Amino acid sequence: MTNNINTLIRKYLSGDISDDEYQLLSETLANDKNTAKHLEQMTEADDLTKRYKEYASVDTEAALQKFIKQYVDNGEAGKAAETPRKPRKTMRYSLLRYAAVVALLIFGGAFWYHREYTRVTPPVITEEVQLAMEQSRESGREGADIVSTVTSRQQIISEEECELYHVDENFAEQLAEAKRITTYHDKEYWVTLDDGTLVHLNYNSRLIYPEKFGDRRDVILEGEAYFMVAKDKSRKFVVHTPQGDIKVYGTEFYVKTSSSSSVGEGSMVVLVQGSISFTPADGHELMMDPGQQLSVNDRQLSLRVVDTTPYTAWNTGVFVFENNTLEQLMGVLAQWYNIDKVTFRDNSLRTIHFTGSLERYGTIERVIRAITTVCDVEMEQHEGTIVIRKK
Amino acid sequence: MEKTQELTINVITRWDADAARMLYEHFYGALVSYGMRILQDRELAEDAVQDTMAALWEKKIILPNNAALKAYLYNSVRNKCINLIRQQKIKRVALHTISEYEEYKLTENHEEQVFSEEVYRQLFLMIDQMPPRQREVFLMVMEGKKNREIAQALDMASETVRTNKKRAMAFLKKNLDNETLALLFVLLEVY
Repeated sequence: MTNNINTLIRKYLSGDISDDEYQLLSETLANDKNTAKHLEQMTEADDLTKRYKEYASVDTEAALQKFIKQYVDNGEAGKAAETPRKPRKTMRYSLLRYAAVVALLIFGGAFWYHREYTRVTPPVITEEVQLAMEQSRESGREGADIVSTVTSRQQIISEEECELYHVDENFAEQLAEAKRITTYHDKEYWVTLDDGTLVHLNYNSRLIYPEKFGDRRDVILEGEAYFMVAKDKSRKFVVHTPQGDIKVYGTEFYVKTSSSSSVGEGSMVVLVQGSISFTPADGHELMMDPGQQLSVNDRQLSLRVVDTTPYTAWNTGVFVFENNTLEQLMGVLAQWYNIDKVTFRDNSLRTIHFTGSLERYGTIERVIRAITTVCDVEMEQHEGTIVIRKK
Repeated sequence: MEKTQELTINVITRWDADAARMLYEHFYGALVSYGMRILQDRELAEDAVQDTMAALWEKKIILPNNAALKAYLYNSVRNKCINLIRQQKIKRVALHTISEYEEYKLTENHEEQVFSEEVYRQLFLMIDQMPPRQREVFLMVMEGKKNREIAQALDMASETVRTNKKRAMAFLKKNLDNETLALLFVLLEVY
């Protein structure tokens, strides 16, 4: 809208417009594509008055009071009554790249896909996850190297890898027709498997899987992923990692494996819901309870109780920060947004604590604006580096 | 009704009763209205909006500015409504209507693009804040009634109708942005 138009409109609204000006205004607006389009939308269905009456008949005050009662006044007390939170020991969930957490989600229930499944129930993909997938695509966050036996005519995994991932003959056969997906260092990827299972791969991660699942469902994972597994009582779903195998009996969990080259870095499995077991490379099967985190460090297993919110949030397009330092936060953001260097002009700024969530698919500028709005800092971005100083 | 405070992100990120009030007073009615466009069902629309507010609250999502907040709210409600349709909780709506409800997109500069729902929302918020008589007059103007008809219907002198109309316009001119004003103008002309 040019300034001219605005002036004409104001003149019209105050009753001060001449016939010529009015003519000009009508014509210009008639030719403005945006206006025309929106006008179409607006006058199509019902008229303005009816809409207003509908709007006015909504009891906002009542809804507000109900909301305040449930979420503001009682706050924690109210929420605790509804969803009992697991006691939190140490919030050492790694947003930084150590330890991997694999989340497998298995939902029973309604169909989402339009394909016919007899004994297999595809996972219900929540609206949050759908939105996250869309946003990921739209913001250019999806990117991976995809190798398929169809196009490459080679074996999808090497002999050494078969050993590393404990791939037996039967599984190896299935991999004759398979895909190998490796995400780039700053991109993620969503894969749908033969049974409808949806896998959300984070950056620098690899998934190797057969095109078709036969009498078993096995995949190989290295890196970090969130699985939403289709329910199938007749076939267990098994995720092979360098540290061991995860057998899915019907649940939701998050897994992150460490790469075989990094010594001292462990792997991690967090069970959100349901039932899984972990069988280390040379050990016994260990069953897990929901809310538990299993860490594998140099063959030492340890089990602790954690808050699972950060893992599910990760899957649905959100970074969750709870009492993290600005330094930790910037560490995660630097990786995700490809920032080479983050400089703190004042050391005290490193330990500013931050609680909240940030969208994963926003631009770095938006994130910076969000952070500087709530923290007393100034952030400047110059060609791949960010400088943080006191406000 | 008391004047509604201007929408400020800083207030919202306090996550207290004031913040809730600001959020609800500015958006609840319009979002429910929006949901009803898609679902034709008030109860389900209210559910969708309440879920959206709850999610925003629980996650304490920090959005950088008003435009981003609006985008989040509208798109979240839209998605929840679409999901309800897909789950076939609403049998009457045909799936092809989903595409008619555009997503609320931000421009590259992260400003708002003109979005019809938002236009209505701002307009209605302003109308709510007019003095009662003025509002009555203006609503009839929106319906396309002539001054004489309005005078008769509301038992007012013609002159009073004219004054109220002028004041209403001036009030809107002062409080609405250019895009909204332009659309209002076109609408009034059509009616």
